[in-house]
Amino acid sequence: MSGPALIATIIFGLAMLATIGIGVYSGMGREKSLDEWSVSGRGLGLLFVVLLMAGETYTSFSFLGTAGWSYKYGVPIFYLIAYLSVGLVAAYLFAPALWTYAARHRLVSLSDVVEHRFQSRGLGILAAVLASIFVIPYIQVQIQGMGAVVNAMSYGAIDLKVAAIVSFIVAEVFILVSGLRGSAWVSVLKDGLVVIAIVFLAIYVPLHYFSGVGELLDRMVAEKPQWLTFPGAGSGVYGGTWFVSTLLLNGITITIFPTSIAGYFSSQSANALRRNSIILPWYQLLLLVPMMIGCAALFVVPALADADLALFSVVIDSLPAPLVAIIGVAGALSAIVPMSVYMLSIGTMWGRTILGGGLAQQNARTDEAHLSPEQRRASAAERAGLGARQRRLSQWVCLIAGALALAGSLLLPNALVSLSVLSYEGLAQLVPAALLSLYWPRMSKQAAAAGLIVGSVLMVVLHYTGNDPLLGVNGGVWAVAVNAIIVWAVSMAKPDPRWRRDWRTASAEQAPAAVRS
Amino acid sequence: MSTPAPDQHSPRRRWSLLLLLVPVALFVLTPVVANTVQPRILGMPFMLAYIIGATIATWLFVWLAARFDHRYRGNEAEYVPVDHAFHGVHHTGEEELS
Repeated sequence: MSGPALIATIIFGLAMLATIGIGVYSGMGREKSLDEWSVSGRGLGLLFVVLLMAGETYTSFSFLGTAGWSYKYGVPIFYLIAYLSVGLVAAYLFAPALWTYAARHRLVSLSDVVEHRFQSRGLGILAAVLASIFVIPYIQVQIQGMGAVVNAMSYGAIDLKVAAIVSFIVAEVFILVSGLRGSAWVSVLKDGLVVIAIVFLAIYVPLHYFSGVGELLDRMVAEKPQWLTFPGAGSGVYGGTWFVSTLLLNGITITIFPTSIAGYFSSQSANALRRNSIILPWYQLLLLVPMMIGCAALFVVPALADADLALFSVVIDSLPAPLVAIIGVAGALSAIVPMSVYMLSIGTMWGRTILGGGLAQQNARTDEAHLSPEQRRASAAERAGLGARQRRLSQWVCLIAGALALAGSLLLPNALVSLSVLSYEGLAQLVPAALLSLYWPRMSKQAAAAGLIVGSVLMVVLHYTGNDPLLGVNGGVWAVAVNAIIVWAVSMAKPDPRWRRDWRTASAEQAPAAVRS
Repeated sequence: MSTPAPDQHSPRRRWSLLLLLVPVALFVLTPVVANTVQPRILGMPFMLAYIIGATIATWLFVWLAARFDHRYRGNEAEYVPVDHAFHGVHHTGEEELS
């Protein structure tokens, strides 16, 4: 192993140990409930909420794909900043609504929301399965991203597959022990390093290769004007219509991403989420730095085989080993933190909705006013036992989901990744059932199920028949539009049985009690 | 806690939330109004400057929307129509959530 490779490997190893240490420490002395594991007992304040949500902004895609897209296409990559910002705007309204609904009914996941809203475990299971199908490939993308980053930062000394296994072990250890709180604490280390690395690169790279950002921009304008307007360089599929349809679709969908939901539900208050929407737009500006480095790479390493390595090629070309390693660690943690939350959210959906009996037992006991104190204590103890069982199941599924993604990255590196580009389009199909349904009492479970199934099938068909984008518009938008029309039509024909035309003005006493059907 | 409004069943209007549409409109209009390199602003190609402006506008307009939003000012929970319709929860923020 060469000197620089040795230094990089040591720094990487120490950072991984520190990550496990922080993550495990964060969960010590906490109660062993599903609430604590999945949503930190709804106890996170503004700082941790912001860190968790920021953690999902800056994934390994930011270091790899963001620079890669700006290297290959140019301005179409602005869709990332655009949809994250629009997502924050949407979250100002929808995140507190989901949080309120979940806190009121003690829900911990996306499939809980669907199950409780429609009083239908079947629909909850459908939502959990669909969400898992579209999220597991995302875990694999993070594992492979981590492999690429660690391989690059160690000058090839650490094998891609070894790095993938390390990322899996580190993420599983702290997420299994500490749950979401572990991710929030590791985010402190991760985002601290990311901000330092990004600010440093923003200043250093333009000065090292050019006389400053000004010269880089001048050269872009003079030599690469194609990169600076839509549809960008390359084949030109990412035009203006694609940009607009994608930013709207992703901006709404990100508010019901299982990982966003975990972050929302962990909040102490509705206002922490509203403040998060006020603060985080500033954080999006950091994404301009990998974009700039992608542009710099056009001049520094003009013929890259793998555009995703644009940023690390520039970093390795211009910096000494210890700094390369620190930037690599920031990149590696940017894979590990989101990955851990993805695994946790899948675990939670399966552990309660699919394997843990759903909300049934919990719901039966929400009305305890008539019980004696002894009965109430007994029911609380029973609920704690149920919670502990659901937590164990969730942890097992969290481990299995990670193992599946790891196996995919070792055995079929390309198969699942092609599914991950469909993640947003697929999860978008859940928007009517999980979000619209909270605002439209008339919507029935039959409507939600029909829309969900037709939308998902249509989306997959469009994609695999080469019709995505269709007429320049993101295929997911077409599918979700059909989904919404079906939801509307079926709800008009067959409304939710609890729905009453005069619900807006009816008084509380007349409101029908929740009925399980 | 506070005196209930005369008609507590329909939630108070929150007109300031209309401000949230401004940043969305700015981003949606990017390919229409900003698909050009010139004029360069502080050396930046126009679209880059526009995206930075729109991102900062996102902060500004979400902040303004919150400033004038009584639910934000009162640190209240959000109004969820299905809870109103199915569970008889009309107004929130006064109940204990957690």
